[in-house]
Amino acid sequence: MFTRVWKRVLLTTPWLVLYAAPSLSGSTAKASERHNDYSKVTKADIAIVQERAVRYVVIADNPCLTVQSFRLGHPAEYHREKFICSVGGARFDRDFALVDFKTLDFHDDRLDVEVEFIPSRRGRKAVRWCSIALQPDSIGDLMCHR
Amino acid sequence: MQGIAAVLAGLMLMALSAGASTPPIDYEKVRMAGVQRMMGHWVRYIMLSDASDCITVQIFKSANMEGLVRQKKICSLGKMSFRDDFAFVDVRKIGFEPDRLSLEIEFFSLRGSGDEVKECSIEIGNGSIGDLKCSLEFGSEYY
Repeated sequence: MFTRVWKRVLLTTPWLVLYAAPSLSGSTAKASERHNDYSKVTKADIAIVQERAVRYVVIADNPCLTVQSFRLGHPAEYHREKFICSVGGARFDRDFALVDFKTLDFHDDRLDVEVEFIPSRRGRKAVRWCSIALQPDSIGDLMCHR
Repeated sequence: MQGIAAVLAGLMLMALSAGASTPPIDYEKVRMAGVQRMMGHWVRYIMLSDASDCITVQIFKSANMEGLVRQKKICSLGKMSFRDDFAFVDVRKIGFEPDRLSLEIEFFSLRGSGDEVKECSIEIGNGSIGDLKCSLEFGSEYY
């Protein structure tokens, strides 16, 4: 019985956190700097990582990857939001014709992302394995392996 | 005067009934979503964090999620409502096959007899969305 209840709490908690969060996220200055048109979401998932509920969102016509974290058990406290719009010094909207986030997988301390980069000038497209470090108080940058 | 009142009443009724049948989707509460091109269209599944457990499947004309062709909100398995006939329904995975969505769903029984993980599917046709089908036996019914 305990196992079942615990499982249910684990499964439902991130959803309930999100249920209350959007109304608060809009009130933070950081979140209001960019506007996501969520009706064009193409990929999204949520998981518990490092004692936070973490969600990624990919939106059509938007070159950035959005990563957000929410405090567990404190649905009124929106925690972090990061718009990942570049890798190294290269901006997705300026330096590439297309950046496609093909697969995204949560792990204990990071979000792994398989990214296809299509250059804006002549050059071959490249698929890279990248990751974003997830810590309780921070969301890292996109780091890609050669 | 009575005619105008009748027309206004009719318009209000139409607006109310339209609103009841197609409640707006609060996309900002998305917790799970995916898109793939199937049969010349773009098919998206989306689940929200409003604890309704429903799966919304949509077919669009274009890759940027414009030109909605069909939409279906799936909140039951046959006659079994996710909300009323199960303690909990957890959609664990959703994937795309050439002609359907494949889903892994965990059903928690209301009677406390444990949970069952089932492979399920939703058929996608040319502009059509089927019902949820699973290999789940519940009482004398088989879904």
